[in-house]
Amino acid sequence: MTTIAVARQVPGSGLFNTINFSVVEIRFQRSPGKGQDVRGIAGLEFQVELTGTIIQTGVTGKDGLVKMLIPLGAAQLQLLHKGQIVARYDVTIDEDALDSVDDAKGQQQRLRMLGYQQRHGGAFKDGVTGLKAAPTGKSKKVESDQIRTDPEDVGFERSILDFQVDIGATPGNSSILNPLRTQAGA
Amino acid sequence: MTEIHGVNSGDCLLSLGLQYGIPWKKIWEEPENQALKYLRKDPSVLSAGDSVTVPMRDISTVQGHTSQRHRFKAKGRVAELNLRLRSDGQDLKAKPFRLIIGNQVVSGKSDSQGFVKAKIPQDAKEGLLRVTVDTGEILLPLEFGRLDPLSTESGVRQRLVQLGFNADVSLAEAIRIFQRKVGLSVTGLVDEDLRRRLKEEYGQ
Repeated sequence: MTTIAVARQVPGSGLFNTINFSVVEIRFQRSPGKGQDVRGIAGLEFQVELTGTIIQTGVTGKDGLVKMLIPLGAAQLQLLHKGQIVARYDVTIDEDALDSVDDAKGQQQRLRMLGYQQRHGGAFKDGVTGLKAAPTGKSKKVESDQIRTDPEDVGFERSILDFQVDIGATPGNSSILNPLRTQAGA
Repeated sequence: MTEIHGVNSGDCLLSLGLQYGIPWKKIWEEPENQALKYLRKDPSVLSAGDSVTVPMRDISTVQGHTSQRHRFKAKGRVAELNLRLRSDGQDLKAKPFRLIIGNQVVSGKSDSQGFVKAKIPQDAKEGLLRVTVDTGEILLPLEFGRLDPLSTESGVRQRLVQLGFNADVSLAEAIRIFQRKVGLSVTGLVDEDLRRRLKEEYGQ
């Protein structure tokens, strides 16, 4: 069990200890294709475990939002159904976890978080993590005038088109950066 | 006659004072402990493996009549928890809390700077702090006396982690992020500037 080491202070010493919680907000929502206002999953039971101790419990509201307060840089978010744990997510504070939204990889990461699949390449089979090169998001014409069929490119392009449709933008012809940043929350 | 006490994790001068029945100040002021005092500077934070010289207990004789009640008051039997709670760098002000140590329960609210203050037994080992925040209740399992000195690597790591920097993965990376945030030269190394800023941010 992880505990928090603090001092027994000499009365009047003026010394103190600090715990700075890292706030992590995670929104659980239904698959893309539904309006943003009805997508949140309400009534989802959750708890936060800090190596053996349940430090936080709650139920999601209409927006499907879980607001975790993590005291020591890492914790596990657990979803419950009828009191049984049905999903676990290890949450670690990492300042550089997401690439820039201006980069293809950063866009992929956010699209993946929002439920737009990126196929199954890479170390975690999520189409994002550990790929040698980020896909371009555009199927490229090659010399023989055939469409390039790199699976990661196709997956990425498809997810962008789906996202554009869902937000009511013109597919293939509008920037996704701002709405992507807004919806992913980062 | 004096006695040498080998410090275990969880010991501090206050708990040793209670253990040996001697005011902690008397142990701290014992001439044999000058080197320790210089090294640790803070009686509430010792390191496992430190040696503390425990002086003889003063025994005084008090005369009193039989068949009468005599009242004696032991001095300095309490320590304090002085814990600042923050959330992404913002003070958690006026949050109701309950501190549970064995059968003892202390209730209150954090102050205007996010401080949870409570009297605790000098030899308290564990406690559970329950804090009510906007999203519900947070439980914090505390271990008293387990904070290592800032002069040790483990002490630096503990402070960084509690300030929200994930030093359990990479201490050097956590130091770099901390240095960047507080405007120090980014080296990833433990130096005096780092210790000074950690003490300011962490409080000890």
